[in-house]
Amino acid sequence: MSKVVVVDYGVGNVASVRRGFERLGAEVLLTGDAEKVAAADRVVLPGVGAFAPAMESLVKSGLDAALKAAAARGGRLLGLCLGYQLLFEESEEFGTTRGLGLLKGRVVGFPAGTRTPHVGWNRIVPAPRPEPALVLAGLPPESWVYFVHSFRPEGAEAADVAATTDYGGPFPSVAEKGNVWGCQFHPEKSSETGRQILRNFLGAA
Amino acid sequence: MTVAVRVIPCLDIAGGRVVKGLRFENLRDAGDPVEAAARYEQEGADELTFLDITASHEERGTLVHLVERVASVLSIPFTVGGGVRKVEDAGALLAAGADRVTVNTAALADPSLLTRIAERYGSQCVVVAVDAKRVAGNGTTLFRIMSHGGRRATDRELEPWVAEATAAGAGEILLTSVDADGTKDGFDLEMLKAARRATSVPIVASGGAGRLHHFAPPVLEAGADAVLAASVFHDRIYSIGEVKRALAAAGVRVRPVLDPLAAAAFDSRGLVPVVVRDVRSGAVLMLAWANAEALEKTRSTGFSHFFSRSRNALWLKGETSGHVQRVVSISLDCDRDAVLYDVVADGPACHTGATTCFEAPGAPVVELAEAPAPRTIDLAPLFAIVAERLAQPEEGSYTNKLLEKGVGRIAQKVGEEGVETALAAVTAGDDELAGEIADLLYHVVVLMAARGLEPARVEGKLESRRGKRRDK
Repeated sequence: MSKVVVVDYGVGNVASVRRGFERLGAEVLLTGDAEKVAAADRVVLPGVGAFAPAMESLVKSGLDAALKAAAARGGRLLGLCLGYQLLFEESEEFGTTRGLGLLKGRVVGFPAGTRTPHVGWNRIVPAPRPEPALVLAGLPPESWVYFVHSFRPEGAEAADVAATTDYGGPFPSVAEKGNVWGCQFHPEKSSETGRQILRNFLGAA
Repeated sequence: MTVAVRVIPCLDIAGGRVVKGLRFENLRDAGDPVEAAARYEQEGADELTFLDITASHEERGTLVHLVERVASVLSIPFTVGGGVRKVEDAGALLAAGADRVTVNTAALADPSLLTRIAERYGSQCVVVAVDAKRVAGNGTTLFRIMSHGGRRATDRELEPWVAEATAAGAGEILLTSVDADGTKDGFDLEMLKAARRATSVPIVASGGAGRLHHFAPPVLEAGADAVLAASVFHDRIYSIGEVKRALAAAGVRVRPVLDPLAAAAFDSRGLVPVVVRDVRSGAVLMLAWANAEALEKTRSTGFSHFFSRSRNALWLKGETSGHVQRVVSISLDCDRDAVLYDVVADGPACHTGATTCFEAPGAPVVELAEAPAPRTIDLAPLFAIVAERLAQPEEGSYTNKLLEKGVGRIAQKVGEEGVETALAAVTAGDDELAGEIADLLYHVVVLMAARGLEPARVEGKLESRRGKRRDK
């Protein structure tokens, strides 16, 4: 059975992420223990809410270093929603806050005139890459996923972008840089498409 | 707008069960919200809404337990409402796994409730349910806000209330026309337009859906972001897929439904073999052929359809004999070139009158070995006999005598047989123990019949316990 560590750092509803993996038969360890996170082969960083307090919580508990250590060791990391945004270098949500810096780019608001939050089902369009992204394996070219967010990354390295979504213009909605993966949407709420993404994450490296 | 317009089935809940003419006849438990929810997701629903219709006026607490069960199976967002009066009520539903809560009557009394929930959990979690009714004003139509499940008129009007609720923190408006609800004559577009003028947050149109062409106008003409319906989906008048295809044909952006049957590999004649299995007994009933149209008809009607190679025509099983098969599920095999219908058969499968085509009189059979003794107990015949006695009492039947004496006496018998089984286990031989176990099982079945407890309830418990064990 696949084992996955879901980082519990007091931010948002980690339970739905846990259930999403459990529905696939994975064994889920929900923990805020930095050592366990650092040693894991599959780590999920969930999160909803604001960037700054979330980052503060990661730093305070040493989880920021643990996540970086897990990634450096070759463990596969999956950031979801706010957890995805935290992978980038910084966010301009309510003042500038440094992120984990595992992905190049910064988190910004939507252009003026765009209705926020971006809530609902939208399309992910695979980005051209030399190698197909593992995170999107087995998905049809047109896939719909469920979003709830008010900020989005920009300035990502083109090679790291696995898919983009158009809402107030295209933005990187799925990233894959080696073993560091992230989704701006909620795969655990995205029906079969989301299940396929979670299965890909659990799958062989 | 690049976000898809959502199609939302609504499940009305009372006492933890789905009410309002739910006709998912093939479900093991037609009123189980969890099974209905899973089925709607599979059909392509974008979201589900659960409204506890008893919560508001019977002053009942909320549905936390049900929400937990739904959350454990569902992989699409869902909204829960009914009786949310405090921030804590909303918090309990969200913590149990709901994505959004709807607030109705309590927000009318105190709009700051919306603000407090939004501040704590984000406005995208807060849906204000607005029930409105047309009233004649001086020369114009007014939309009056109703409370208490649409039964009580308030002194509020639609546009100011929608604007106020939005300002207070509601992230979405679920607007139900009390007049149109249940009529199946279409949505109240004027009412939706009035609400649209008053807010920029998403509006869910509700009340009046009856025909396929009803679904696009709320979006195209009145700017709704989602369409919600209950009975057209429950009563299986339309599938989610049909509604989405109608919306797409009208130019509305929807998330298309993935069709699992599209993968079927038909042979050069356009046919695929179909094995038909009795879902209750597991017996193979027959083998026939289907083309794409037969599969589609089977799916849309819920009854077995095939393609006759001799008559070169589509046929509905039971069309002349009346022995139809209600289809519980359609499965493809590993290489997609064979189909399985799991059915509840209403009579024999075979034209000879035999239960299965493989037991027809004179059907050749070659026996190669003795069938092994069963490793389990088949209680189906026992349940069948007890059900029959219950429906048609028989003079001198021990079962009927027991049933007449009532639950108390039967419960006592179960206790006695339990003790006798326990005693036999430690003092008697195998034959006597088998006899006591048989008596115990028989009395348990009679007890269930007397209480009207559906076997599916017990099955469900066994299943959930198996699940729990797996977790450890």
